[in-house]
Amino acid sequence: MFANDYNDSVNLLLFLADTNLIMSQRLAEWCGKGPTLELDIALTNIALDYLGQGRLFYQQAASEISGVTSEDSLAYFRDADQYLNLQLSELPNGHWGQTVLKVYLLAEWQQIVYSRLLALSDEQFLKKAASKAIKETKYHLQWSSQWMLRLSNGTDESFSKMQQAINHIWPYVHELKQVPSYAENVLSQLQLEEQFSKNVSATLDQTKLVLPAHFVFNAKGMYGIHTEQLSYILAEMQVIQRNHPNLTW
Amino acid sequence: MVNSEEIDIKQVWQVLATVSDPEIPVLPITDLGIVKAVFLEDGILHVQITPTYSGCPAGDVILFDVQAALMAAGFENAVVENVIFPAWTTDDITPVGKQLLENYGIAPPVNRYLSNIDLEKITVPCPRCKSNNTSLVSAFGSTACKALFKCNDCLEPFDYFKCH
Ligand SMILES: [Zn+2]
Repeated sequence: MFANDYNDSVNLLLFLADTNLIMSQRLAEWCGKGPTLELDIALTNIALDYLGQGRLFYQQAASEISGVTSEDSLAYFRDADQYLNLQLSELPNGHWGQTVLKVYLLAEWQQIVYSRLLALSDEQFLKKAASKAIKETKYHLQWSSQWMLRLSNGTDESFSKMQQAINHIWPYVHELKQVPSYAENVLSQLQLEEQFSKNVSATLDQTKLVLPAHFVFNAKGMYGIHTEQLSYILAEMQVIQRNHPNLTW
Repeated sequence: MVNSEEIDIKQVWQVLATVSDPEIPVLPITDLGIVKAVFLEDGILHVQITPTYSGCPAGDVILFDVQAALMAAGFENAVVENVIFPAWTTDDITPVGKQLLENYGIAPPVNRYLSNIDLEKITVPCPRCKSNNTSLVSAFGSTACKALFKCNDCLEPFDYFKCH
């Protein structure tokens, strides 16, 4: 059973913030190593969008947590089992096609989740943040889906690499269709599941990619259960602040 | 220092017009459309600024620059706030702002807010030679708000300010 000291509202904020931050940190690994200068810059910009969105949610979470908490303490002083990010976000970048697939899947997911938050009332923070974030997500979705099609319908090699990426990533996609218990009053399980499957199929149907045989792999990053990968990311991301607390640029 | 009874909102806007986004120095923030509100509350001057992109690294710098410009003009106790709602869109760029962008060599947004974000399907005139014969190089340019295009006539690459 999942339990921490936070209420549902804070946990939902951390779920959204952590997923964005870890995606951002992962994508930043491409900085300076992109296949071309333009793609390097594109990925860096997308990573920056994730970071900005993550900060919005952390700042709000910090304001809702009693005591001395800041966006930085949430990012730098929590351990892996306190992080609520989707496991997809922590998976290694792999090759270019695998990175594109990760960005694509997260964009489809964010588009649905943020759209849902837009239905909240104007006063609610989640609506304000979503109205800001969804515009960035639309560009991520457009950019990544075009790359999905380009690689999947490209050469034999690009196709086989995309198929390889699908085989590797697909077990983690089940989590993207789950609404965590702390978000049940905001997100609809049925709607998320249906909409996500429908939207992803619309893209995959334009390719010859084959989904792996059905099996259920219950990734539970949203409840703080992670692959070993997250610890490595956090170690690198947090080491400076943990060794030199309150150090600033 | 300007006393609160003497604060002239119009003068505040004039001060704000001297501040620009460090990544687009040619464009005052008042023409970029990120100044959401200027008002007095209990004698305190409030200035609300909204970020263009949530991760825009210029965001913090702009808030700082606004505070500094206001202080230099005598508005020492101004409260400069970051607001995110309603979200900024490229529709908020003034006609003057769009002209300034084009003069600077950045093609202004060709559509209204998110009406058409498929960058491969829109026609973006070259800011230099005005030719419509241009093509997309990359959906993300030097910053998140821009895409990179090239002109097939004058052969110059140029930035395009994406609809957002
Ligand atoms: Zn030209």
